[in-house]
Amino acid sequence: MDRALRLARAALESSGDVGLALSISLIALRFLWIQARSSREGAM
Amino acid sequence: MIGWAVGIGIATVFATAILAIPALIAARCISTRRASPPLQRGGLERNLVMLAALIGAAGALAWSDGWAIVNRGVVGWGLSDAATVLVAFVAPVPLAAVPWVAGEILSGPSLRPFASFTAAAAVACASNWVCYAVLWAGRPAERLSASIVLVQIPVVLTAALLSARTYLAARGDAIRELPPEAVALDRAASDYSSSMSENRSLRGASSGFF
Repeated sequence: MDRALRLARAALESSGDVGLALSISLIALRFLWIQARSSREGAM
Repeated sequence: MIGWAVGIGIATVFATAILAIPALIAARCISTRRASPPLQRGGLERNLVMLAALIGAAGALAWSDGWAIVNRGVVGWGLSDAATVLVAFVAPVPLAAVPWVAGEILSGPSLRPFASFTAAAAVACASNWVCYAVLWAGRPAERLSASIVLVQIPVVLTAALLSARTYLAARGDAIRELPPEAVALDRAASDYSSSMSENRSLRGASSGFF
């Protein structure tokens, strides 16, 4: 029980960092996707 | 380019004056006139500030997209243009005000309220402007589709979480938890630092860290 509470607290406290990392990763993925699509259209 | 710079400046000043400053003044009045804050600084209060930032991000996104949908055709832009411009250039300063207001209301006035808000607003603006530049600038207008909204979500989340982190890092301790001598010393050091910067800039020297 104590360990589960500690884990829940650690998950709650790190959720902001995880959310930030996920958001930045999604933005980077979208940027790479836009670059790939525009270079493919340029080649055609 | 000059038109863009003027537009960004006007949008930022408008958002600060109309949307952020009234909330900041109200929160400051409440937090300074109250006998004691509801929470002490700690893990719970930090998590609540982060949660408030997330709720603020959802509200900013709903407001931006809703405004773009309701006012379609008024400004002569496509829906995606209006929504992304609002998210990128009007939303950041109010987004930075949300964690500031939550923190000051929940745990009382901070040692550095102005610096913490300025830093949080600068981080939110920089984050949203960079995201606009790499994701939406120069792209043709289109319908406000789910794919655009799905990209807007991480953009506002990044700005909200970064500004909340910046506020939490820059605000310092709660004034109530410090002895009056420490508060006076910090303010004197701040005044001395700003007067030294002014003297240096008046003499033409560098006002930076060196």
